[in-house]
Amino acid sequence: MKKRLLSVLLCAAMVVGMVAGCGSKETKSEGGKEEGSSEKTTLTLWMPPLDEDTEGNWKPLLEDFEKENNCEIKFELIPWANYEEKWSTAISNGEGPDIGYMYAEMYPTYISSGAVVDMADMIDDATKEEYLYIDRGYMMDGQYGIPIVTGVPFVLYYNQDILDSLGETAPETWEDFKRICEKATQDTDGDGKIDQYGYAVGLNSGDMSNLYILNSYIYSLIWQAGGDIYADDLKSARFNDDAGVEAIEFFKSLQPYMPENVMSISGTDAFTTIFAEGKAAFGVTRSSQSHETLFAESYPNLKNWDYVTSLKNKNYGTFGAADSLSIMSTCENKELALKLILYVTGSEFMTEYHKVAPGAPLTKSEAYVGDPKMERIVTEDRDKWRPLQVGPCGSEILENLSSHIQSIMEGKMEVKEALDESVEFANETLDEYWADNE
Amino acid sequence: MKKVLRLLISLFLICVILVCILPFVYMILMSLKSTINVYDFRFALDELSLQQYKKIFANPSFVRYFINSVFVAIAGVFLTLFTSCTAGYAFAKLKFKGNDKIFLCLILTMLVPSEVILVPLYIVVRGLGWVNTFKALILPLPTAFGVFIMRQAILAIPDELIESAKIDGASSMKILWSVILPLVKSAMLTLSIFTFIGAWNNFTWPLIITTKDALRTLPLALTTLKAQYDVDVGLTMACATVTFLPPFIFYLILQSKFEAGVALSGMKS
Amino acid sequence: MKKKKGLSVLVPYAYITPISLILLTFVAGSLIIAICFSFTKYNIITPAQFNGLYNYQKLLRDDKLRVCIMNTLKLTVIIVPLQLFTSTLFAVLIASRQNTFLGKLTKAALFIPVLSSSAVVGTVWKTILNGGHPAVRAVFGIFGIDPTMLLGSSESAIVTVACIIVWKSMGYYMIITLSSLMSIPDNYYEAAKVDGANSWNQLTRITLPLLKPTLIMNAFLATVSSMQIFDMVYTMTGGGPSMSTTTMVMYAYQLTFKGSKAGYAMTVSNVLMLMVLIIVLFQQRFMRRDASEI
Repeated sequence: MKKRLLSVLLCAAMVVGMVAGCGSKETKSEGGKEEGSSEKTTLTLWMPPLDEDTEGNWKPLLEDFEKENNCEIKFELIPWANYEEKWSTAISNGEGPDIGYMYAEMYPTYISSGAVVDMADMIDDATKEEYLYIDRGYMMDGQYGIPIVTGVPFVLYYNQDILDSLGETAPETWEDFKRICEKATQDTDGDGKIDQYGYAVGLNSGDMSNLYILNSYIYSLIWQAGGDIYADDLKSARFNDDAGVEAIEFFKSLQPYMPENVMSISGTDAFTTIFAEGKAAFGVTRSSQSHETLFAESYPNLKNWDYVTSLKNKNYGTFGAADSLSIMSTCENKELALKLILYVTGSEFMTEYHKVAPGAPLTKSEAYVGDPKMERIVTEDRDKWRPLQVGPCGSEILENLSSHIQSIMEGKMEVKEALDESVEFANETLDEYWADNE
Repeated sequence: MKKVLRLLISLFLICVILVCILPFVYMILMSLKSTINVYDFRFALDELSLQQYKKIFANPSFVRYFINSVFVAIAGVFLTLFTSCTAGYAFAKLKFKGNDKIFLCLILTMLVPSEVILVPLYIVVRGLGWVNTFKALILPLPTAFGVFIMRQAILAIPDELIESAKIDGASSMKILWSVILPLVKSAMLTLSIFTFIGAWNNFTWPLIITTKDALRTLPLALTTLKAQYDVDVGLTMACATVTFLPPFIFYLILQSKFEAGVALSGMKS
Repeated sequence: MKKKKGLSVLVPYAYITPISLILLTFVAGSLIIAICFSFTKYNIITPAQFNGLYNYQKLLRDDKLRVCIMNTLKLTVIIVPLQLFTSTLFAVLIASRQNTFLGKLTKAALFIPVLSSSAVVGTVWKTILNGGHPAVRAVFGIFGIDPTMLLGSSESAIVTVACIIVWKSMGYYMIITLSSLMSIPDNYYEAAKVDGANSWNQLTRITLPLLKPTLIMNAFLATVSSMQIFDMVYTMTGGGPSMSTTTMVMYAYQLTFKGSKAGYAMTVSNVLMLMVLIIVLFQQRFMRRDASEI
């Protein structure tokens, strides 16, 4: 009896030990490595995939910096799927990076928790001059981020052939847009079913986050109408004011010109399967400096196209993210970290990187690399797009707004009713937040 | 009349088979197309290409990720079998104080949804110092479900068999090994397959608990191929196929043994 | 003599130690932490602040929670009976054809959806439904449904997701039911035939009653798992349209990682666990007990 008890326990111990053994081997070899490089500063950098082989493309470009500054850069590639989850669990346990790539929806919590560093005092005027988008990294009263991926706003693409056949030119105002949409929605092959649409829209959010709907279709309308999400003091939401209501009612009025299954397909599907197949007059997607080449390759049915950066109502306006690099408060050598950020967003690095993965130039010294057709987005049209207001509880409020937009488009709620409800939720959430943070 | 019924049922089963398999056939076919014509439903052979797979396998670390996933899944299977058989045996056939109560408590752990305990689990694992280790990927794999299944299977074994082994002087360990386990082979195989599938497809937990490339599992590695606004359906399908194949192959391998297991266990077909 | 007896009492405990240790550390440990967190305000980044019963009071005012509870219950109510029905149906049909090619193929085919991850299944089905392939339209057309509209309407989205979930796990429950079926001795059926019973009688008088424990177990498993649905919904609809497919787990997840309200999320999940517990207990009492189930 004793023997068997012992053998059972031994078995258990063996299994645990075997597995533990694997684990400890890892830590041992790590420990050795750390000791060797303890003289150099290590900077941990978290990046998402920006192209097919981000790590492969970045590492050689970082070597110069590493040599010059006698440091080691630990580059870690974090997939887009569950990006925020990875971040929050790591930061909550002190395992975050020194520098990381963050986007607008992430910032409010991190800023109010003091997890990111305000770099305002560390940047001089010359730098501000050189780096074209640095002011877009200024949010909630601090310079918390320096934009690295920007200049790719969501713009309104149009099918030149369809517009020509209707005798129209590029729309400038909302009336233009609506008129063209109406004319374009028709049955072109005479089978009794509409197969050409005015506006290729998709409102299912399974593939991308729920905020994609807002990014693509809604912010632009709200801003063009002169409204915004937050009031200036960030203590309440204002998207149910006259401008907001006007914007959403306009969007709703376009529904007859959208595909019938607008609620089931995602925005990206709507663009690639409807607009890019030449079946719609307009489509929206995030622009890219390489779209001319990309569209020619991938979309043979979209022969002649162009785009309008933004329509105009009271103002111009469309959404262009300014995803930024930030320094985390846990970073030990903040000066070096800032140096690295300015280096990777600077012209030396970016000129090389943009050759492999096109993007908008971030500094004055960097030349535009990319399709000529897309160039005006970052030159003459640069003021027509902007990033989001970064405000507290952003994600929650916007997710809620997104869901209300879906209700409106499904016909379940009236525009004013839905917007009022959404603002009520937003204000409650903001009240709760400010009560704790005053 | 009976013949007609049989025919109808056979047709019905064929429909069922089609409904189950066609989506996967579709997935594989989509993965063989390049982005351009992915929604184009002509399946002409000259338009099929392996370019998506080339993209995936071009990554030199691919083999390492694959091995990581296999290692974690297989280790998980062994660990689960070990813990579930021993515990299932005890709950089913051994008399001890608190048998029912403890079993009930273990079953209650099945009520805890895994997505929500992600953050606390991370805290626990970190407290143990196991972040970025294989331990952290493998040890949480066994669940009460395994105990449940094995207990259920072992309960069905007639007590007489056990009694006669006891009379022959066998210890409980020997009874477990020589008498019980051979009779529950099919349950063990079922549990193996389910555990393998669960471990293999696990995504969020490995994402959070590992930061080092050396430990990355396959599903995780495949998501790094996807840039933010990519709509490469072909690539997504190729990744899905690659993720799908190993459990499928594991199943095929065990399937043949599965059949044998059912026969050996003395059950009639 | 005394020593031997003393140790032998410990043997069973040794057998249950491995799994108990694992479950205690990972599940119970996390659960306790989760319950503690449910009384705090926690945005994950800064340490948690105790705020008493505030979260629990918030539960009562939370409209979104009500919607999520309804969604979760809707899913469960659709899925569990469907699962029981399909798994039993297929098990019975396959049992009599085990040795035929068709039987073996059906068994294998039914299991294939079980092998893949929910995320993959969600993506593939979404593409199939929205893709507009003529064959797909034709098949759905037989039932008068337009597949491209299924995921887009609040009413049909949840039913569609439920059906796909059933599709994915049919094989799983079928295998369990089948192995139970196989253990019913042949002589029961032989005796019944001698008494003049036809197939239908055999099914209802012998098979189903003897399957009862397995059906109860399947009901338990299916209920527990449908109340925890997350992956499939996340990939197919993102919780929409208009929150019509947001389940409780998804809500808790969104609260944790998007709303930075991990404390409240734990509160929500505690409510979920309590609900599952109550439903399961109710279910067990409702279906009469037999020796070999819980």
